[in-house]
Amino acid sequence: MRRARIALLCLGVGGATWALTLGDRVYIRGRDVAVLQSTAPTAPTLLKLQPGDLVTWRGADPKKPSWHKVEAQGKTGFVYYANLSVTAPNAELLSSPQGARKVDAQAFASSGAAGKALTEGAVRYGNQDEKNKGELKPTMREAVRQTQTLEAIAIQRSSDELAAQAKRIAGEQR
Amino acid sequence: MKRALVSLAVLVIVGCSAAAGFMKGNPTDIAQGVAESGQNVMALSQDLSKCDSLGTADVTFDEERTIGGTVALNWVQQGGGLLVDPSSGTDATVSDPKSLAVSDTPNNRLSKYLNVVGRNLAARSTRPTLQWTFGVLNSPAVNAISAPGGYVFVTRGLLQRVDNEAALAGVLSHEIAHVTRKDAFLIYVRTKVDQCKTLAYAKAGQKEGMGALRNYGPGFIKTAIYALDSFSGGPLDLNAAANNALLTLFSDEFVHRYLESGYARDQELGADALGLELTVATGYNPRGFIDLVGGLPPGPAFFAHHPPGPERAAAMKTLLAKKGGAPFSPFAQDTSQLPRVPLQGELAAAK
Repeated sequence: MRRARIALLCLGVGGATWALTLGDRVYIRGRDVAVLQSTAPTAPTLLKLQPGDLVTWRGADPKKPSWHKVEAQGKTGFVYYANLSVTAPNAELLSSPQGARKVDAQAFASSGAAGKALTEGAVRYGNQDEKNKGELKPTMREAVRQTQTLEAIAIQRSSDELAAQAKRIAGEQR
Repeated sequence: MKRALVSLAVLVIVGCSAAAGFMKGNPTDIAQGVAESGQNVMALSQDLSKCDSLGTADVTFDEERTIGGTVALNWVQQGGGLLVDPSSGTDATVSDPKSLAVSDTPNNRLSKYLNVVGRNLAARSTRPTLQWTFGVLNSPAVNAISAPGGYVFVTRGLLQRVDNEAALAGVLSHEIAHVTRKDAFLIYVRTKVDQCKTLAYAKAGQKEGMGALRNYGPGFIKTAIYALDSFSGGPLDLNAAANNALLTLFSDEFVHRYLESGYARDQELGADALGLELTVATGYNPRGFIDLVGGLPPGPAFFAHHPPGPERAAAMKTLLAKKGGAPFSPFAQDTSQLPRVPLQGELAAAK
């Protein structure tokens, strides 16, 4: 029992050794990561977490080791192991009148910069006359229109669609 | 070496200006020529210094997204266009892609499927909150390519080759890895410094500067020089209309250099390793991608600008055989049990 409590996830990488003990704080590495009530395929979702959220690690499920027990926001549930990380997602550099400033993934997501499609500069680049003189098809103007449509298709993919996709892959594993 | 070139350019400017005065035949003109040459030397030196500052300034996300957008447009054009059916409301008027109506056509359904697969992968990357965009280029070549800021493209030829979603996921993950590793920055930062200096030399009337810009009209070069004069060093707002000529110079040369040599071999193998990790972390069998890459015949028709397929496949197999890694490493599990997952939607229908 005592041995189970001090379960250790200790693995070596190129000489460096990482050790993780029960109760350590680890990061969420995916978007809209579901914390499930149990490891059952039909288990209800307790809450959804975002990249960079910190959770308390309570160890891998003995029967389904791909699922790890975590605590977050006062709830305890199970997360697929690949959505956990010991390192935070990358910070992004944003421009500001005072110079470049570093923001974490969460601040970046809510900054508005993350949702940017083809920028005004890029659209201006593609629409300039010099870029549309040759015989090449599509023209740059057409490339702008196509890319904008593609960006609309990309950005309109809902978190439900992505969750269904993740479930579909997980379903293939069972 | 660079300093020697600058000194040589300075000597040429001084010599030419003085000679111009000498040709006029009087001492006043000679003196004026020398004075002008001094000013030219000073201006060139200042411009070159500003150009060097571009190389040390951080590339912000805003700059990455702008240069990435222009590079993406080049990939779309050179790849024969995208397999999408554009909405009537597109072009410069698009302010919110979230509300743009997209027609329900086979091409658009294919793009939807690709974006569901791609964004599900990218959500687990180290840059999960980028505006990731995945598209199909209408090219028969078997290839995939990315652009800074989160643009990833695969060719029609590649889609015809893949027979399971795990293989497709591997290709997309490799390109996602190039973006998260910021592999393009190495080429891009060098490019903008070099192009800025080319412009500075052209402004100083140097032949090498003018020669390198021969594909651009005099009006364009004048606008670019004006932008260079207005730039005071450090970060540069490439999204500003006043800097559009500089954006064009940087982007065009980046595309040229990438198409000439691509990424370095270690960057490609690094993207394979990171991409494989992402593929497995998302729940796909890594063999789908390894088999695809390893099974392609050598030659520029298959994954141009990438190391040979068998070499890449062998490196990835070695990585998988090592197992382990950091906590929660996808490679700690038995990856052979993971599914290849059938293709879906329009892609499956087209097979």
